[in-house]
Amino acid sequence: MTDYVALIEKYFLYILQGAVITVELTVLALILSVVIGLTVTFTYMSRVRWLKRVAAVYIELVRATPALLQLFIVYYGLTNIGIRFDAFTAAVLTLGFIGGAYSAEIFRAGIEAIDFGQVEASRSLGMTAFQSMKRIVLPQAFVITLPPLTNFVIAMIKDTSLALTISVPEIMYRSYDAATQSYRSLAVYMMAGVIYLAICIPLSRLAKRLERKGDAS
Amino acid sequence: MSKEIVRIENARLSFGKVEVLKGISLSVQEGQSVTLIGPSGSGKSTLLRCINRLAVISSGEVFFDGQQVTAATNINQLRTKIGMVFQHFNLFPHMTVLGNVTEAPVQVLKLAPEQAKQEAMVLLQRVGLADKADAFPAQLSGGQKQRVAIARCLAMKPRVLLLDEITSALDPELVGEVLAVIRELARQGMTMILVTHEMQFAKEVSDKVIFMDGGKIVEQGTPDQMFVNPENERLRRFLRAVIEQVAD
Repeated sequence: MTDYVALIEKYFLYILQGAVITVELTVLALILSVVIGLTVTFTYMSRVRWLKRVAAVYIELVRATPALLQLFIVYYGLTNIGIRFDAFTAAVLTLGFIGGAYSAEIFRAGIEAIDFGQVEASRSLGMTAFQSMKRIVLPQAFVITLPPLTNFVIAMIKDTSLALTISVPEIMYRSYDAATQSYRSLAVYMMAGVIYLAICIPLSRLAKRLERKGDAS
Repeated sequence: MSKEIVRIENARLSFGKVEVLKGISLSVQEGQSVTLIGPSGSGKSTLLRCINRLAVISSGEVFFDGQQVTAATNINQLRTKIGMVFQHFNLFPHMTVLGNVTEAPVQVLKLAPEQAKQEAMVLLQRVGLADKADAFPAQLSGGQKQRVAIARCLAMKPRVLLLDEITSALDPELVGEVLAVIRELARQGMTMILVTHEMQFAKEVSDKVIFMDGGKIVEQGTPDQMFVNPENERLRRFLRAVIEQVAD
């Protein structure tokens, strides 16, 4: 028992510092995801054929290849053509790139869930396409989108662990490091698990509550 | 002599390979109420939607108040003067009844919110729903929703109302309250073009009835000519079918 206390004293704080990196990675990748996601959504819904095609190909490419492969291409692969990112940047870019495709699908589903009759009604009153989007569609789509978006954030937090493979010192990297030093894998990875749970469970509770609220209205 | 407000000349429209309108011409004078009847799929609703360009004709011409409605027209400007009420109400569910009615006046006509609210309350009074101003659409019956939709239209002070089967989605006992509002508008001289299956109502409020079938105007005339002594065989069959259905 005292043995465990000593282990926690020695490594918990060390791993916890990784949580800061994990959160930073998540937040930056999320911002990038939403920017890319919204752009792709509106591109996809536009009437310009080739733009639509580009958006569809992007989504398909991201969804049909492993995230780890994409990360390696960005971090290692691109160096062959002279593009070099530090590990943290490479992770943010990759996760943002992946998140962009998934969030685009979430946004599109939210917008398409709004009955087109409401768009017609607003347009027939003389509202512009932009006004109709801003005043009628998006406020409702936002509410519909919140629960899947929260789940998306949780998935993103878990995906940041991939950055271990390119030595970004986030939670997984530090616990891997601690485990190799101490030969106490089970105890060390449990600590990491507790940290992930502490971050993700409140979020997943939030998603559940938003879902229930959405059903009620 | 009254003024012509809507004119359609030889309008054709195709969805893919299907030609929905096969050369329709129509003229509506200010203050008139014109009813389109006919079997489903005959193109009545599509014709209505061509007037405010919710549907775009493939050839022919549409004029509103002397101005041609084409791809290049500033359609938002025109649409403020053409009200449309839909079969499925299409209220904005995230806004209150009052919000629904004031939305376009504030956003499009740039009315001061306070003034828009006052005008909206007068309109809600007129459709008998002043006490529901703060309710959300989900809390209303179908008939109440449709009356809100009418008030929302009237808030733009339109010169023409397009009514697209506005009672078709209602429970039978709620139809009356909506028709009463329309009857009152007709009495006040509002120009209306309506698509309806309520033949009795069509007979009562219309100045002109147009029977469409297969994307063409088959017959048109006064309600008496059309309902009392229909000459056209296709129209007779249609009316018989509708009356039998009501009798069931």
